Amino acid sequence: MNRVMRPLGLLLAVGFFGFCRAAAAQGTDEFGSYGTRSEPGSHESPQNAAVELRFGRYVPRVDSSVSGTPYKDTFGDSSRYMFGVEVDWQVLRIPHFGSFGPGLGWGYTRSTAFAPLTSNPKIRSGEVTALSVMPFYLVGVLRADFLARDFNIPFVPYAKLGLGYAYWWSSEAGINSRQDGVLGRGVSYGPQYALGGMLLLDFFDQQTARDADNSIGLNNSYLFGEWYGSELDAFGSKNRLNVGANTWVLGLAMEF
Amino acid sequence: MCSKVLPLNMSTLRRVLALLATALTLSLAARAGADASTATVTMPASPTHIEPSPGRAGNLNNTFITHNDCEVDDVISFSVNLGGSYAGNTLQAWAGTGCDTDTSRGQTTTASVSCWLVGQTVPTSNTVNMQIHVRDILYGKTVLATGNCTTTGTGGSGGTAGTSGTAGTDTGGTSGSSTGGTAGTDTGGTSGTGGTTDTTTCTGITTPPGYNLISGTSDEACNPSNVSSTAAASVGVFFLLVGPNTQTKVSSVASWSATYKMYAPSPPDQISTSVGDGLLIVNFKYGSGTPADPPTGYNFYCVPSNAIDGADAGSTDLNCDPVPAALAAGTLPGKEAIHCGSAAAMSERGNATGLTNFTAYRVAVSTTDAYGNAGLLSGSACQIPEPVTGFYKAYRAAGGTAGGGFCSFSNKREPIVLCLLLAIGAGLIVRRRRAA
Repeated sequence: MNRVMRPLGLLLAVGFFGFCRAAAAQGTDEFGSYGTRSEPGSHESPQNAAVELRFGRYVPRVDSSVSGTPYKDTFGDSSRYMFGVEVDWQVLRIPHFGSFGPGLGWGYTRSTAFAPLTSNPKIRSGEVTALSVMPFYLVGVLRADFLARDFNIPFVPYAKLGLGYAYWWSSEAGINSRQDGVLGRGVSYGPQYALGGMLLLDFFDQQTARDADNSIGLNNSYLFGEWYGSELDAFGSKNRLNVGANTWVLGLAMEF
Repeated sequence: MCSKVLPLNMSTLRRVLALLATALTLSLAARAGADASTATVTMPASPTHIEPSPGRAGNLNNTFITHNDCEVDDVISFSVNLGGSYAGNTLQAWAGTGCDTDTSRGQTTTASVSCWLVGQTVPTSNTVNMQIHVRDILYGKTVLATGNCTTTGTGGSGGTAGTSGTAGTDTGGTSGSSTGGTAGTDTGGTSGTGGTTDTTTCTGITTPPGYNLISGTSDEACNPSNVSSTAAASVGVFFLLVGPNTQTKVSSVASWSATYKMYAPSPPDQISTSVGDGLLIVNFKYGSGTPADPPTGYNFYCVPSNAIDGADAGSTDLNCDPVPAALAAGTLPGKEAIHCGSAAAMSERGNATGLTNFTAYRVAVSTTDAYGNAGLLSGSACQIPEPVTGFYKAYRAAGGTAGGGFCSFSNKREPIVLCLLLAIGAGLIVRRRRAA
């Protein structure tokens, strides 16, 4: 339970902090100002990047690449969670549509359980076995913010597509696993994609949003939800541990 | 006016300078005379430990005296410089507390022995190297301190009080005169009887040494049970000169202060174990509060069942009784106890490793401290390690072939795919730069 509650609590704290300072401010481009209504005299800083703090369920697709169900047999059916960070460079502005640019992400998750006895798998030993996964990814991010800019609707849909590359390692009793002389760690890679929507928080407190932009250059802040998929199996190779997942992510995003 | 005053002033100045020179000469002569009668003792450098194997850890503070230092009877080498009129006197080394005063040395009752003589020599040069054993330095702190001395002898009884004289009687007389009575006579009381002479009798210790040299102290000095507290305590070594036929100090005193600690804090009092593959998971906890002197870590000690009761390896019975002497609670680990693991200071769990599956082991925990001391053993628990199926083992058993390290690639098509992706990325970057 603690394994779940600690990251969740951290995310909520970060979200609360972010909301309180919630940014907002409008953006500007070559076609003028956009986003929420501005007041005379307010300053609107340039917008170039987005940062996401991410948290979501993550159950690696390990069992899809082998004949049995070693992941389920070891770690059970319960949900596992991942936290991560993504930074996007909004290098291209598409008029009356949104932004596009590369995004670089990092995440971390760890599944642990007491290993079952070999002589009787129904009985768990006191030895902790673990699988840790640390995925990185490089994706193209398309954010369609025309609803917020042109129609004052605080919702921004987005899509991501790219490549994921994950480190994984397994351990028993805190020591790297080794079986048949092979070290239990490696890398996996493959395609990665996501669809999501962001709720513009500036809409709810425009004055605070303007202050945040004027003081620290925070243009917009969002709460977002995302459906996320990755196939980290080296494009179908059986020699890679598929540590990708098909899952959801929640988080806080800020544009600067 | 100046031409008249100046010669006068020059003359006066010469006189003053002459007086000053005379005074300075006399002062230096007096100083030289003083040096001739006063000796000095200094210790220009810190002493060094000359410890037999197993030696002390290189990062251990030089002023620490540990249980291991005592066990191997470490020798500490002191280099002492003498000055002034040291010749003919005796250089003494005293261990204890406050040994720079004459009254603190040479005491003969345990209750007041604060200093004990640990080395002496008649110097033949102004540099003396004295080597003193750690056990001798600890003698008064452990061996003497553990003795039980009682003082016997009765005090004298007091005499009875004397009777006072009777008051005079007024015989009267003619009016106007009174002759008064006769004065009373004090008969005095009886004198008290003397008590018996006090005698100090000590058991369990050597007779308090007085001015006798302490040398060759046994390993009784290292017994942790002779120290009342696990906390560190201080002990000093004092170097001074005494006269040829006296114990009176005739020099300055050079001293070195050390802290000694004989064993680590008390062990956890709640111990349990659970099964692992070739290991046991040891859970430990202080149920009655952590010690005031917090441990810097924990050590696990194991004894296999075949070393306990002769049972063969391969037994699946929890057959760890009786508790072997090497793991007896409240003692230091015995020679048969195997150091089978450790845990960090803030931990309450660790692995006892290097064990054989299907052999029962009894496991106990002791603490460590900053001095490298071992603590006394906790109670022990018994368990049998056996194979478990961790995730990677299960994955391999299910036909998975991934693994081998972060830099491993198969010799099939994977490198081609990865290289292709890298090439596409590099091409895009080059194209963008050319376009720019």
